[in-house]
Amino acid sequence: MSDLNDDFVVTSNTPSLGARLQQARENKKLSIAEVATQLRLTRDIIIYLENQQWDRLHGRTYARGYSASYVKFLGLPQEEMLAVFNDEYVLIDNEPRLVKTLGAVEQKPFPWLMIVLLLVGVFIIWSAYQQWQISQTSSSNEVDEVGSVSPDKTELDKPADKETITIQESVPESSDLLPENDAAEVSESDNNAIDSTEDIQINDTATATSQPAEEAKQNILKMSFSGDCWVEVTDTAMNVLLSQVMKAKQSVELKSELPMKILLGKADFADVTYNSKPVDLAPYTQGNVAKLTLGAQS
Amino acid sequence: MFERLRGIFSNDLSIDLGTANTLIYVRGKGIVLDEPSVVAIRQDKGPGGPRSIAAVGVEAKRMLGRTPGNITAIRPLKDGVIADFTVTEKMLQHFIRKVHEGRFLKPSPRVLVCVPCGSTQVERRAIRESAAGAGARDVFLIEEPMAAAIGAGMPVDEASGSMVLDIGGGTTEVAVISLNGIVYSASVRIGGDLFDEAIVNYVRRNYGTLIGESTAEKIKKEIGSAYPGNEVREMEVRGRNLAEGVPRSFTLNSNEILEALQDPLSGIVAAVKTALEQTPPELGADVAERGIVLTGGGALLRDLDRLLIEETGLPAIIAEDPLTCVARGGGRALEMIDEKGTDVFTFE
Repeated sequence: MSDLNDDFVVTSNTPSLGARLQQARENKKLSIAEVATQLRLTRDIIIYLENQQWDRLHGRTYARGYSASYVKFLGLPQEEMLAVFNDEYVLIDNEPRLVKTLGAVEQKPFPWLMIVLLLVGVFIIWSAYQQWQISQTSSSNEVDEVGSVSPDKTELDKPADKETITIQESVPESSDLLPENDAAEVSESDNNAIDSTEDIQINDTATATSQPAEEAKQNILKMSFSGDCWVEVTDTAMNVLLSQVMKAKQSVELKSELPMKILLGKADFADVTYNSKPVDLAPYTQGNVAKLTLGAQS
Repeated sequence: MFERLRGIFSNDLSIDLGTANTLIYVRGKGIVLDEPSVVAIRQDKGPGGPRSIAAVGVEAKRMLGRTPGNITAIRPLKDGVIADFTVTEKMLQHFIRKVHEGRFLKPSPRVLVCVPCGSTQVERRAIRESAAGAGARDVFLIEEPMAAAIGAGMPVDEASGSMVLDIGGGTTEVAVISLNGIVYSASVRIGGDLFDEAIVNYVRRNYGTLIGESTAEKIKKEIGSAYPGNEVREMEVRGRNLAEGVPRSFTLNSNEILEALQDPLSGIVAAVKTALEQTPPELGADVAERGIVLTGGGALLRDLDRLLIEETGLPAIIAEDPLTCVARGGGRALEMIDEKGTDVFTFE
C-alpha cells in the first residue's frame, strides 16, 4: 500500500508537459478557445497538445513549434519545458533526429583496410601481368623453334633497307688542284682526259657491314648515263633509293634486294646492268620514258 | 581518376554560404563549422601590392572595423551572393581544409551549396565555380528555402503545403513547398545585415552618434524586438558623438530598436503576404492550418513569430536550432541523393 502511495507521489510531482500546459492555462483562467484565438491555432491542436497526442500534430517540427508558442504564451520557463518536450517526444519518435549539436570534426580512422585491399589488388594485377608475360614469351619460343626449319625464308623477309648507293660523278673540269688518287675512282668509260672527279658515296653502313659480302655483290644495280636523265629507284618497301637528275658521264651503283621499281626520264641516255647483266630497256620504254620493275622481270 | 581516389578520403559537405555566417555540415557528423563569412586581407607595399589572406572566420570578424591601413576585413558575400569571387574561393578553400584538418591527402569532397532562390544564373555560376576552385569534386546547388525546410524537419515530401520563411544575413526567402518541390518562392534582399544598418541609422539620426556594425549587431541580439512586449529592456551603448567627435555612452531600450527595425520588418511581412496571395488555395489551406515555419538567424529576433501571427493571422513557429537549418537540410539532401538519386530535387 505504501509503495503505491509512493508511486502516486512521484508521478504527481512530475506531471507531463500536456498536464502542465493545461494546469497553467486553467490557473490563468483561459479557455481553450481563447488560447486558440491568441495563437491562431485550431482548438483541436490545443487539445492535442494538452493530451500529448503528438502524432496528430504534423510531425515533430510542428509539435515542438506549437508547444513552444503555447509555453511562451502562458509565460512558462521555455527551455525547461522544451527539454521536457524533447524527453517525452522521444518516446513516440521513430524518425532519426536530424539535429546534431555543434562539435569538432571527429577524426576519421585512417582507412587501413582500404589501403591493404588496394595493395592486394595491385599485387594481384601485377602477378597476373607477370604470368601473362611468361606465357607470351614461352609461346613465342615455340614459334621460333618451328620457324628455324626454314631459315632462308626468314632471311628473305628482312626489310629492304640494306642498300648501298654509290654515285660516281665524272665531270670534266679545268681545275688541276684535285688529288691524284681521285682519278682511280673515275668511271671506266671516262678514264681519258679527266682532270677532276667528284665522288659521292652514300653508304648505309649499319646494314651494309652486316650484309654478307657475297650477297652484296649479287644485288648490284649499276646505271651509267650518256646524257642528262631523271632517275627514280624505289625498293619493295617503297623506300626511295634514288631520285634525282643524273648528269652526263655519271654512273650510279645501288645495292638492294629485288624487286625494284626504276623510272628513267630518258631511257636513251641510260645504260642499266643488274649483277653485271645488261637490262634491255626497249620493251619498257614508251616515249623515251622507261618504267620497269626489276624483280618482276627476273 | 585521382580526384575520385581523393574523394574516398573526403567527406561530403553541405555548405550554407551565408552573408553573415558560413556553416558546414558533414555527413554523419553534423555541423562542424560555424564561422562568420569574413576574410581579412593584408596588402603590403601600398595599393596594387601583393595581397594575402591574413585571417578568415572568427579571427577576421574580430578585426572588422578595427584594422590598420594595410589590412582590410571584408565580407565577400553581399545580399546572399558573391561580391568578391576570389576572396570567396579562398575563404571556402580555408573552410574545406579546416574541416579536413589532419588528413593525409588534399580533400576533394562532394559539395552541396545552398543558394538564394532569387539568385541569377551568373550568381549561381559564380558560387559553383568558387566551390570547384576550392577543391570540390562535384558541386550541387540547392535553393535555400528547400534546404531550410528539410533541415527544419518539415514534411516536404508530402502532398501538402508547407511554408518556410528563412531570414538570413543578406536575404529573406519565403517558399511554399509540396512534394519535394518549390511551388512558390520569393527572395527579398532584407536580412540581419539590414537590421544592423537600420539600427546604425536610427542611432545616428536620434542620438547623433555613430556606432559600428558589430555594436549594432550586439544591440539587435540583446534588446532587439519585432513586436512590443510587456517588458522593456535597456542597454548601454558607446559610440562616437558626431557633434563633439568623442566617444560617448548612452542608453537604448527595446522599444527604440523596435522602431528602428520597422522598415525591414515590414518588408519581410509584405513578402510573406505576397507569398500567401500567390499560393494555390489548397496549399494555402494547409499553410493556414499548420503555420509558417521560421528559420535562419533572423528567426531569433525576439517576438518575430508574434509579429507574423498578428500580421498574417496564421500560426508561426520557430524551427529548432534555426541558425543551422539550411546547412543541416543540405546535408540531409546529400543523403537523399545517395538514397534516391538526384531526381529527388531539382538540382543544378
